[in-house]
Amino acid sequence: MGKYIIQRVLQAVPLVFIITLLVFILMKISGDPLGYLAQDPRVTERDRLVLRAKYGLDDPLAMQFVYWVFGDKGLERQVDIEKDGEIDFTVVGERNGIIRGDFGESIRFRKPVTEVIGQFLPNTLLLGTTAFVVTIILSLVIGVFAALRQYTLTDNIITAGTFITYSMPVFLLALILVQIFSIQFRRWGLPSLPVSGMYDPRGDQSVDELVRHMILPVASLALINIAGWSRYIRSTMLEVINSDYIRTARAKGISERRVIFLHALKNASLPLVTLIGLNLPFILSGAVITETIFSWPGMGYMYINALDQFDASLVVAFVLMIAVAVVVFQLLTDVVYAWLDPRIRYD
Amino acid sequence: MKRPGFTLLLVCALMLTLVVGGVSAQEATKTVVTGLHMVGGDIPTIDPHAAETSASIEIINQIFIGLTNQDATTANMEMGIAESMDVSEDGKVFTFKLRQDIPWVRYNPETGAVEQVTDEAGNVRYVNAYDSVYGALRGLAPETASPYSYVPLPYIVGAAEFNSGEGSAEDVMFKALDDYTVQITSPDAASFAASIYGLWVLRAVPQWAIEAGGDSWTEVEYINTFGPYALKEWAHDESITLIKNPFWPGTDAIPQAKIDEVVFRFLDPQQQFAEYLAGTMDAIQVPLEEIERVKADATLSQEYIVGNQPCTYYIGFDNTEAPMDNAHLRLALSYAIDRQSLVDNVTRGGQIPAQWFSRPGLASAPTLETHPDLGVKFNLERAQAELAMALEDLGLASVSELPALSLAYNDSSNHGQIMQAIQQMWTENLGITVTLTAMEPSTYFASISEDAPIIYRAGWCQDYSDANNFLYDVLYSKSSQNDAGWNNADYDALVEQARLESDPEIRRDLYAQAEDILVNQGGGIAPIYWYTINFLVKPNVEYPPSVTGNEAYFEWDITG
Repeated sequence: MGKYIIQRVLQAVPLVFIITLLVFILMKISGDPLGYLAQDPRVTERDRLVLRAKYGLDDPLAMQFVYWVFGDKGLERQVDIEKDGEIDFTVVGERNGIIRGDFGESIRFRKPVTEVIGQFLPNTLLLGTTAFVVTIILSLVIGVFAALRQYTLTDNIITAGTFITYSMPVFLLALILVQIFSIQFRRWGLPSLPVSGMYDPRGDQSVDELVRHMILPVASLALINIAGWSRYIRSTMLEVINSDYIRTARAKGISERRVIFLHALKNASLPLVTLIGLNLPFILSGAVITETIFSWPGMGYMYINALDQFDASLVVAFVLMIAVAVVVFQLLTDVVYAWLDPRIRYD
Repeated sequence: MKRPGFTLLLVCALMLTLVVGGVSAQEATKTVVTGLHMVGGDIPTIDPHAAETSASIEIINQIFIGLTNQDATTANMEMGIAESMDVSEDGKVFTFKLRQDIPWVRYNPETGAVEQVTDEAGNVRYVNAYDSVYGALRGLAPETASPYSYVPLPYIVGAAEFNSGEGSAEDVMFKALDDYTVQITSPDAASFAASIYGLWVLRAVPQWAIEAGGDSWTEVEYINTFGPYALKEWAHDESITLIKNPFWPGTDAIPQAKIDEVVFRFLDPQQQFAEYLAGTMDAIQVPLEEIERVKADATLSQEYIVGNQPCTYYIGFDNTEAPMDNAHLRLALSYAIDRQSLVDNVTRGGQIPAQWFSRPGLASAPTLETHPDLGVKFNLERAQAELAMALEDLGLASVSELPALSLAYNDSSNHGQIMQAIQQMWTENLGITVTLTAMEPSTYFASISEDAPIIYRAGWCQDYSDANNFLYDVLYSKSSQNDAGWNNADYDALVEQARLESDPEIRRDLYAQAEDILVNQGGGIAPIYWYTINFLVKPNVEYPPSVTGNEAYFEWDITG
């Protein structure tokens, strides 16, 4: 087991390296970060060279990558403006490198990128985790329920319902929910739900308010996932129920409740671990579309705005963070899976 | 064995929703939630010297006041933080006496109240002449690189040299004579210079806060302001909350605020519309596609307001490049656009077909009452006659021999639809086929300034209320904004003369003559429509309609 874990971790290292390299390349091919200064007559050639030296833009590409990852603190770069062999001034590097969490400053927030992420991440985790828990519980309930009543009217209704929500794009579902529960409910004089944000700008920032604001985004996120996941659970559950050992268990006279919940469900939920593990990183990333529609101040919403306004350091940090999270959670999933399922070989 | 039914679970969930949903927040203060002039995402800045977008300027106008101020409902110039203005005989030297009772303030999150700012000795800091001069010089300084510094440059002696890095700050004739007297000298007597001196790019800012906060000085921790409102919270990407400044003395022009808090939400019009219908916003911009629905709705139509916006939508031609250097061809295209049909069928927001460039309502601009027949209107015969002359000039037998023409536009909002309509009118009325080129919105205007496309769309909004801001600042032959390359000696002479003339009626007449040359004889540009704004405002909100495109929230109130 220990050997297996070490092996998987070692496999993940080059993967993270390749991701970092790819992100760096993407950053480089998106253009010269100081290009916009070239047309500004007020920026002198000297200023340009100082900035280029400060960010090491004239270093060899490979070294730029190394400095980006590990930092260039204390590194002295000499600038020769006239190219006459005489050093005009020296610039000292200040970066700590992304490996120490230095992604630079966000141009919009005028704060270090890590601080900005620290501000939005809790909101995303709150929304994402709630939606995730709701999804898991409801898909288990619906999946098992449908499996136990295979081909009955209830099963068919559930099947139809899940197919409808499954095939619906999340933005459409979100807008339909807003139309019904926020706008029409208000029109009909019923208690309505807020359209967007985390709190009512006029009200207090109470937990009540927060819960009210969470209902629609959580519902949009959960409904779509429940549809897919409950189908998945239904089919694995059916497979298990029809297997030999369940028949044996029943034949031994064990109560139906024990058969279903102890024997069948435990085995049927094994594939769920994979599903959960692979989806966990996307709690971090925030649901970009859902957060945007509901103006939920989370990572996804921040990412869209950062893209829109060319906040490159924020975009890079976000992409890298999610990519690494995917690798880490995949690793964890493999490990947990190996631990749960003795049939998986460690070597 | 009994299991709780699935339906029961759903019912429980629904009931929970309703119970929690029934709890609503109590209103303790008068608060208005607005989305006017706001867009989705964040606003770029609230630093008066870095501001460029209408959203930024809107916030700045509530928390920093200029020497002079433009009244939002009349567009007239009035006093801001100055209590009086004295102009010398030759019209070049402006002396402003500042009020002595306007303190710098900040919002204290711990006490939840606005408090006056004190200096090291514990005395209240009042906005004085030195703050004003510091602000003006910061706005003009080359290292600030303010996007609006070009506007006041021609109206302050020494400013252009200082801004280009050649002159020094001492030579800028924007001086403090004593603690509360500011004197500004203009190179020539321009009657509207006083309104330019009130622009955000010259406003007073807190030197001590900027030195303490650096680039973050506009955050709540550092910022000091002095307008009728103070900054309470800036939740980036979400909203800005302004709180009433009880220390604003209340002047004739700018009274104390009546509403305690104004929340500006950064939402796109569609999201604003949903919030408005859900009752969570009080004032919003109506998305274009919802205007028909709003007009037809019994309740919404009562809350619908069409306001003026001092902007002109136009088609620019590259006057320097063949074949658009031919005036007859430009006029043919301009006369072939049915502007009325365009605003009735495409834009449908109550826009006014533009007959000329300087938006009526600006000081000294011609109006439809004074000059009903001025400028250009859809005229098929004239268009075809001009086309025939153009073809003759160019030595072509038919339109099919014209070189391929393309019409460039920034691919946002409804520009695409408008361009398609214009493209179709040119095909149907003249037989000229142009191709449409959609361009990246964020870099569109930069690329037009770099090298204007052969035909392109553009819009211009006032920086200050005067026809000079349109006809001289944009289309004077030597103006840096003259992307079209329009160059006509008679036109230049007229706008130069009007710029220095002091009688408003004579100026209006000079501008009318200049417009006639621009749109009717030379076809330098093709004006399309004059902008309007479509708002929805809740009936309990007392909203003084703005004609300037900026809102004065200190004039708003909530009733009932």
